[in-house]
Amino acid sequence: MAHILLVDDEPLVAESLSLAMTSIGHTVVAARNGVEAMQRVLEENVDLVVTDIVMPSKDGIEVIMEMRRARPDISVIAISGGGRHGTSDFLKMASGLGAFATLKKPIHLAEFVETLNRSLSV
Amino acid sequence: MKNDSKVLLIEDNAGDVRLIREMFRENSRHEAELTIVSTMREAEGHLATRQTDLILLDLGLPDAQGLEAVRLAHEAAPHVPLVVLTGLDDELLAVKALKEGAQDYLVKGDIDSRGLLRSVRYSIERKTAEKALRAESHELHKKEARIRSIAENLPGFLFQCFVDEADCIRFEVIWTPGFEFLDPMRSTSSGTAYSVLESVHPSDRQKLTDAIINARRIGSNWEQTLRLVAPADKELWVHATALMRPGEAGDTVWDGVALDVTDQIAMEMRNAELHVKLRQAEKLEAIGTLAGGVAHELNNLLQPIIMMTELVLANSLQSHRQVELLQRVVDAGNKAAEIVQRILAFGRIDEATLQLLDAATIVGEAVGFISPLLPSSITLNVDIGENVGMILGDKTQLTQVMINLVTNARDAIGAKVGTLSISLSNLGAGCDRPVLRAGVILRGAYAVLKVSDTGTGMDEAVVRRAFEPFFTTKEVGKGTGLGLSVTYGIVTGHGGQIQVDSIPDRGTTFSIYLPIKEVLSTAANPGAASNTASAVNTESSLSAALSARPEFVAPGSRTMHSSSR
Repeated sequence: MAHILLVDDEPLVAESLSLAMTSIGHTVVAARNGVEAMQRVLEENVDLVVTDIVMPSKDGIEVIMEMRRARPDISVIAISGGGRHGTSDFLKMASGLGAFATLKKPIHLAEFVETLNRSLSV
Repeated sequence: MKNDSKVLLIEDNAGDVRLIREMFRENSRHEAELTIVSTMREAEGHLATRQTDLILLDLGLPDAQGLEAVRLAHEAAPHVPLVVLTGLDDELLAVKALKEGAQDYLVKGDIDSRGLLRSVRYSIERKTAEKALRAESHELHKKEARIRSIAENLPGFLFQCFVDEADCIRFEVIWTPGFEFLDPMRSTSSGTAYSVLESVHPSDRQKLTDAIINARRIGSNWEQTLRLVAPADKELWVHATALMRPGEAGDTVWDGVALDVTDQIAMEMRNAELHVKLRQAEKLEAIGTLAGGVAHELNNLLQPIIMMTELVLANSLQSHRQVELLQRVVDAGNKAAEIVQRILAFGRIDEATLQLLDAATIVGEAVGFISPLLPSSITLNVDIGENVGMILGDKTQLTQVMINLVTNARDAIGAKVGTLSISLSNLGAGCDRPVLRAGVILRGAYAVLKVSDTGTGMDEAVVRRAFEPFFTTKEVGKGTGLGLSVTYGIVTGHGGQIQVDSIPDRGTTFSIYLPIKEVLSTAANPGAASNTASAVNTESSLSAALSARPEFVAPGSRTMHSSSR
């Protein structure tokens, strides 16, 4: 089972995604923004990063770009609930920047589990 | 008579000359300077060089007789009064002489000194008065011509308004070109006298009469901006200003001018309209921003609702009833998520993600999406050709185009029974190139999408403006006027062309030409059509970052910058 870094500033979103991941046996470390996330990556030996895009401080796009530079071996799954420019655009950006997969909120349990499995089996 | 009146006596009879000279001399109070000549020739010479106040003319001169003499004397000095001297038996001739312009006649042998001088004096005075009158009349005529010229060139008309004691209003108009319909001499079809008030727009009539009656009551001027209805229901805006002046017998009278302000009003209305549209556009922009924010918040709330419910559902301890209820929570969450998605889709037209699409599939899917929107009174004919080809495009945008065109077609048919036809065909490379309205000749292969309706159609003026942003023929609130300009933007953004053909009361056909792409890549990579979805549209800073880092761009993906379109 994997050790997964979850980055989201919304406590209820983080909790639901965290519950989903632990329910299938993964361990989860949480961060509330990009700055915290990059610290956790240094401190902990994570196998996968699941990050929100629209966040205060450092956003998800920056997390993806830094991860590509610092740890290209770790896959990133980008999630977004949309914003001024709409969900798909942020996710397209994330995808273009090298995110392994993108998921649009609200994410269903089945698709979330399937995406986690796919990214961990790489 | 002036004391120094210069009288020219034309007389060849010496006896008569003496007699007349005596008569002038007798009345010393009115001394006149008397010059005597005996022929018309001498008289003409004198009149040409000397000032003369009166001519006394004998009608039996050696070189001019009768009326001929009168005519010659008159010709020699047209402005000098003429008194003719005739014989006792020739009053008839004297009367004729008066008609030729003589002021008076005297009968020889029947003249006394007083009579002669009175005639001379009156003739001179009458002629002077006549001259003054003529000068005055000439001045008046010039003035009148000037006023008429001003009135006729006025961008409007002059009028007089009368109100009698019974508050009965009457207008008299000096109409000018463009306002002939106000001719007071015109009678109505019913044979009754025409009233200018009939030409005032019904909605403005009450306002005008109220203003006039009120002005009469308080004894003031009045001013009104109102519409006149010209023939063929053409509306003319005029601004009327009326100044009160004393009238006769209980009438109140105003003199006024009404200036044509139609263009000015039209411009003001256009500005107001534009203002409203700008505000509508700003509102749309604000709604878009708001929608983005709301969508983000709602999705973040829907996430725990849906996923936590699914987590509970995944636990097999639930009863059948509980599972059913929890499933409803998920269903409701899904519906809410769909609504959010629809709100987000609103107003996003400048972002395009190009991918290779099968034209027939796109159109087919859109038709499936659109047909439920049509009422049963509209028959839908769909004709999608086989193997039309692949186009490079944005699926969402092209679907948007279909929706816009079909919605317009539906609205053009309205509540009537009609037919809406959608066809997709292939304008192969070997076909004749149609020369489009815009004068564009298409080269290469094109997919041709036609959306036709049997609705109201558009006239040439509407067709010309159809793609203008904010131009709409729909009622306020029914259309933003953006649909066709968005459509135009999308089609040209796809390297395509759009053509509209319309006949009023017959219907409209929109034809959209989209370039067909060679699909060699499909042969090499069978999944290409569906797997090239990783194209990117980005903010400019990010696109710079992307082009600097080509390794981050998936192979085979394409980037389209909306700003370059």
